[in-house]
Amino acid sequence: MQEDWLSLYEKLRAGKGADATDLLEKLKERFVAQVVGYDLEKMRAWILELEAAVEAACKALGARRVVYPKEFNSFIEEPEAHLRKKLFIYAHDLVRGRLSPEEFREKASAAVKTSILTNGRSLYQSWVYVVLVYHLAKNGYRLIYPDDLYLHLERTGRQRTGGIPPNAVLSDGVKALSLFIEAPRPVGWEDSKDLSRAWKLYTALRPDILAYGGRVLNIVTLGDEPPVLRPDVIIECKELDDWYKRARELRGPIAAPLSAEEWRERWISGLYIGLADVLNVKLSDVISKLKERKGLRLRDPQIVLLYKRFYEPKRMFLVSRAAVPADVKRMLEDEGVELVESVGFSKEDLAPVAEALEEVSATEVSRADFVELTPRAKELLKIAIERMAGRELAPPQLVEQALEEYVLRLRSAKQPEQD
Amino acid sequence: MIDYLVDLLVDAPMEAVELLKEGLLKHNKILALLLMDGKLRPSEPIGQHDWGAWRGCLPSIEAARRVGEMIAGRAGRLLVDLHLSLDYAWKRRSADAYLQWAAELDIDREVVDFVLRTIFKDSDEVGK
Repeated sequence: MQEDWLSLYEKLRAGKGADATDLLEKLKERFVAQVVGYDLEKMRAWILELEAAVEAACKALGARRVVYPKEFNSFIEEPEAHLRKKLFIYAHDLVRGRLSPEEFREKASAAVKTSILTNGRSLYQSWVYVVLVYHLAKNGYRLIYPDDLYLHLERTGRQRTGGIPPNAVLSDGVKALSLFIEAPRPVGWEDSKDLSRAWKLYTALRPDILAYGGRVLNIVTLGDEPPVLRPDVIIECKELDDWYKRARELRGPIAAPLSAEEWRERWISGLYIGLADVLNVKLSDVISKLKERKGLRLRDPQIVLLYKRFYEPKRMFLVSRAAVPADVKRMLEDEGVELVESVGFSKEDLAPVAEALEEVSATEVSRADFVELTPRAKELLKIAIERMAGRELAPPQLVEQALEEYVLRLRSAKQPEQD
Repeated sequence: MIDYLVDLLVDAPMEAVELLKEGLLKHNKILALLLMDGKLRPSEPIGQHDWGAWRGCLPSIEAARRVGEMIAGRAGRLLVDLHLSLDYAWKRRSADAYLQWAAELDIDREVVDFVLRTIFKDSDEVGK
């Protein structure tokens, strides 16, 4: 039987056993196993589901691969190691005697449990997104934005220029659909005037997936309420078995707007807290300034409803991995929320949601018509490019020229009949 | 008019919300929905007489302040704090209790000083 983390801690304190660094690593490993061992196994199974969905979607879409947010990527690469990283500071404080084993247990448990919850949420949301893209790709949709052929699930730094661009724009050649994951988010600002305009983006509700018909490259409408364009579809994903029993605090609607100066002061105070902690400085003054504020508490089904009332989408879906009790189901459906429940990881269950997305796809003003090349056509194109050495023609122009010649040939073949 | 609206906001919130509905939906739609839609009511006593001030419910008071700001900017927020403070002072008549309560609810310093200066000016409890 493996030692529990507490006996490893005793060994560390007594200076017994192997190298202290190894012991500390083992302690973290045992702690993670003891606190979230079961959940970790579940997460590993979910990661496999996500990987399978990603593979299918990339194949159907012709995408190279998926880009995840940095933290989430670290989690899905090796969840156990990721959780151990969360214990880095607490474990050091434990060894230095700044935390008692009880304090360590409390703080470190909260850290790993929060991390596993957050990443579990991202996992299921990513799975839903990727499966929807898969269905759309199977029906002929291709990635036209961004044009790097990567399916971006992250939004890092993309709001710096003051807009909120989509994660993806998909098009079937005639109609397009723009998808946004966890938008709205704060955009870049430089002074108090900018911040007062962008403030609503800090406090706005953030549904899992927003979809807009057409090629929508920026949804920000500062000065309006909501501060983003009205979405055509909202998709909310629920990964927990008992999500409907949970509640969340909404701080946004009651948060007093900050000026850029106050923002900077708080930022510096935050840095000071970190520094003071390292220097073991008394913090009471700073902490009283930054005392924790509570929000208004709503149950999760109420929050789903609030998203619908706030954004007024044409359609709203709730994808629940688990079954939903009849009363919650009735309440949501009575309000027009379309519930897809007991989905687990069944790709087929999401086909109706993908169909709804296709229905809201809108004809593009500047169309991106394209035809997928057959393997033989790709081969011919490659040969043509090789033989055209020296002539500067891009593949689309080459195809255009080939089609011109083909149409000419058709015309001349038809001519004698008409004569 | 501002005084009247803020007093109404604290004493009969839903009457005030009804009057301010359009502006609220335009400026703080989420809060407007939470106040106006019974299905979206949070567990805190927002939109109820005194907004849970005697139970020390800070989030609810913050909600009242946001509506006060919508009515008259910073003055509106201060008037909400002042109305609640005067009610408290009238009910408890203890400067120390007032100070403790004001700290819990983050009553603006300006309002606290005014109340101490005018209501509790003769109180020897203050500063004990």
